[in-house]
Amino acid sequence: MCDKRIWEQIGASFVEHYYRLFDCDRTQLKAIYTDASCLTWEGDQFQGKDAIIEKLSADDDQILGFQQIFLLKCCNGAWVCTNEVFRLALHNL
Amino acid sequence: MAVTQDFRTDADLACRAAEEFVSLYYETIDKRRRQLTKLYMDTATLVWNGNPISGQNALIEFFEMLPSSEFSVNMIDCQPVHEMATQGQKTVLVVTNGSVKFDGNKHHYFNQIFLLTLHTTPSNSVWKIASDCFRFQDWANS
Repeated sequence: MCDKRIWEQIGASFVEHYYRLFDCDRTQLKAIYTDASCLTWEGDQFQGKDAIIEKLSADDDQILGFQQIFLLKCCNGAWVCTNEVFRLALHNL
Repeated sequence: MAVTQDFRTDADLACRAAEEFVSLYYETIDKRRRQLTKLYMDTATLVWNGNPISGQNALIEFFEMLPSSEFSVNMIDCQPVHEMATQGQKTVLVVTNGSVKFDGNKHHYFNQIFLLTLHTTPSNSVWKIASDCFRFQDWANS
């Protein structure tokens, strides 16, 4: 029960942090990726924080429904995103 | 350059494993439901529309209760998970999208996220599910 609360808290605070930065200043998201992080965006693959931030900063159309998956790893006391997959939810429009 | 090539090799391995696994998984859940939990590790956790189910016995009970299904997968995304995050255990992240009809229910769109880990014995290697997260995509309007 206690464990569950901890990972739910980690997930919820990550998501709040992520989308706040995504909406305000995407370049600041660099801190949550490593050079080994992977992003799959609508099937296109990007590796490393520079490539990922470049991709995230280029796209501006966020009006549709979407799903986004983050795999987080605790690294030297900070949570970093090692894997991320983004897809627009186009099926049920 | 070596790093990039290793990554390519890992990514290709991940995608091949993912595609094979996904076709096995959905064929098994539709046609050989009783065999399905063999694809899960003993310590695996499934989260089904927000409800957590852990361990073989609970999984067997859950899948016995679940009405028979017809899954149709539209899309697969996969990535190798860096060994930094897995203590060296070969791990693949797999995301699927598609539609499903459970007996007695209407069609739903779904997405499902698997973390697969590679288990090697002297005679073979198999990918097993360490974590599985299933959601109806259209849950809110159903």
